[in-house]
Amino acid sequence: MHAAATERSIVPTAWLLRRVRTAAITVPVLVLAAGASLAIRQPAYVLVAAAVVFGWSQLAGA
Amino acid sequence: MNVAAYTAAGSLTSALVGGALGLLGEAVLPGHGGRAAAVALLALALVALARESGLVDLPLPQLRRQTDGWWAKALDLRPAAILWGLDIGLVFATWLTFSGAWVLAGLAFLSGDPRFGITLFLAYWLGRALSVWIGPLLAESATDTSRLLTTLFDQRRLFRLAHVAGLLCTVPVLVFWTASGAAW
Repeated sequence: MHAAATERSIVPTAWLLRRVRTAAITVPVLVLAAGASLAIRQPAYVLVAAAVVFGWSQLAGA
Repeated sequence: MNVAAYTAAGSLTSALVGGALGLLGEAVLPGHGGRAAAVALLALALVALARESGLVDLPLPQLRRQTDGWWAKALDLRPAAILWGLDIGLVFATWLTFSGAWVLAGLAFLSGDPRFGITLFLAYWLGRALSVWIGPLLAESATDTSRLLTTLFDQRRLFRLAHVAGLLCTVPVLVFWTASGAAW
């Protein structure tokens, strides 16, 4: 009974799944696009943007 | 407020790690930041890319350690948040899921530029801390943490894809530096 309740409490809802997927894709796309647009002035901006994405994707192991 | 303390504390240690790697590179590598460094970095990025794309199965060098959960139980929220930030901000002191942090370490070290190292590791920390700021916006309720964490873990394929995209973006820059021998 308790195990079933616990399991229910961690099953992702469609709403949560949609939000997590959207965030997982949107954040890197925005950051990398910003880095790429600044790369004309200095290519190293791409690396800085990639660094943000590396940190963000670590969220999968939170 | 605790999230801000966590972010500020992690910024401090991340900046220290990046700065230390840059200083170390500056001290031990003659002619740092040259073509040889760019070639080494390109090789490192390609290995990381192969790993995260699933082309090779390489173990990630790491300490396999988690932040001490005792802090959250024994201390007030603020000092616990600060200690967590300081610890996780060290980057290599706790679990790594993907290999990008090692590429950043290589960049900071081989560039021999402490300011560049600080910038890279602060950016990494910004991305990492961003999850703590955005997390509450994703969850349906404040008590939904376990469901959120399970969902994030289940969606790790998407996060790996984002990581691959980040690695793919580093390759052209490193190819450019390798080909041109340009300064960082």
